[in-house]
Amino acid sequence: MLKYGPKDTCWAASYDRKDEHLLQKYFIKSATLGRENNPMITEFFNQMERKWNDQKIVILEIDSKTFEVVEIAKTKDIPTIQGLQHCCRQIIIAGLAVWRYHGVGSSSLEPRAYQQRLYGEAGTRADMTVAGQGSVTRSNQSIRTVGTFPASFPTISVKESAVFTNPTGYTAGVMLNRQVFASNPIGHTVNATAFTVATDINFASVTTWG
Amino acid sequence: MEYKDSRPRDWAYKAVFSQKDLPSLQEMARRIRETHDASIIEDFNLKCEQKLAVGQTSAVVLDNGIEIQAVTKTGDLVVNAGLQQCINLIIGTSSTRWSHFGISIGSTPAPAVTNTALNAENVAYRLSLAWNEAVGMRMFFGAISSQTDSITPSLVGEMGVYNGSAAGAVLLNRSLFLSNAPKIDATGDGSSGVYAAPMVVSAVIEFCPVA
Repeated sequence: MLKYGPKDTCWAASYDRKDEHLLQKYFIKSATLGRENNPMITEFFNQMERKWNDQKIVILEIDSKTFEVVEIAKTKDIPTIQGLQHCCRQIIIAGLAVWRYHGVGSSSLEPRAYQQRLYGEAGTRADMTVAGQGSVTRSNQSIRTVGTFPASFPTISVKESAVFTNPTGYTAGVMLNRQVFASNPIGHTVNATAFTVATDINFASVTTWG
Repeated sequence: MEYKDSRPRDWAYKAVFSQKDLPSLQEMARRIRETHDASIIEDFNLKCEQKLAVGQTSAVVLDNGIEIQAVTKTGDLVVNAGLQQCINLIIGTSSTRWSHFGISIGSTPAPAVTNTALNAENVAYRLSLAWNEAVGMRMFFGAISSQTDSITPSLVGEMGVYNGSAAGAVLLNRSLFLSNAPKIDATGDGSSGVYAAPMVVSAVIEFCPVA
């Protein structure tokens, strides 16, 4: 039996500032629909992929109002070794810290499985357990995390992102993954756009018997 | 240069021991549970590999002096429902952890990711996990079979880890021993109704990041 390990795909997207409240509303409402195979999260990831596939206009809808994805970036990177070790411990042992915070940075240093930090991290990490700041859900055999960042977030070229167990720093907690948008980062200007970073870690990319 | 496939695999062992060694096996499992000393599990799995390499007629002894009488190994398939439950545990939407080994005489069909239960299982045969440990990106699960013939089947063709003892519990993985299932000698010691050979089942599941 060959079994390939977890794969990580990440999208970063920006939205006009005027739509920031709709973006927050979207995730506040999605939080009411549960954390397993949530249809609004599924729709969100579908629209990310549509935008990436050169669809001219990609729209999300909440309460009969629509808002548009302005800019998109996508990358396929890897979960970290320490992150997967923590996942294994979470499966066996109760009471460990959960994946909760999403951070972004501006470093394009190539990702490696052993890394445990962002190399140009900026601003405050999004607390994905707070409705409106994102979500942590399961979609079939994937963990899907979304962090939303407000228009007030400092100006940055979003080139890297990661999911953490801790709100700040790199010594106390664990980093699950590191994605780098080296060739296609999205630009964020303070008070001009809001943005999201969305990660899909698929634990069953290829599994066969024989 | 010969291509060597070094990708990660999940696998499982099934080892048979002498009846006299059952207390020592149970003591070994207790030490693993209490100390979380995964080197004991690593030694067990390593010695299973050695036994497979040297053949069933050569003696291989665990670090604690117990001799493995026979061993078989097979690939192991983590099923979709099992992965989903793992993710539920990771994100905290479930707290029902892996707790039992299911074993059955079934030897068909080949495992598929869509499996949700063993094929020919009697849930009364389920064994509580003797150990379940996470080491690095691997998870180790093990169980020791009962000595009572009403609880253990005489031939184990397939096995898997469940998160409960009742029907309907979630299956994590399915291991199938196609044609190499060692029999547990039901009457080897002459006392009808008591199995002579305790069996230890051990499964290893590994996550490894890939680009």
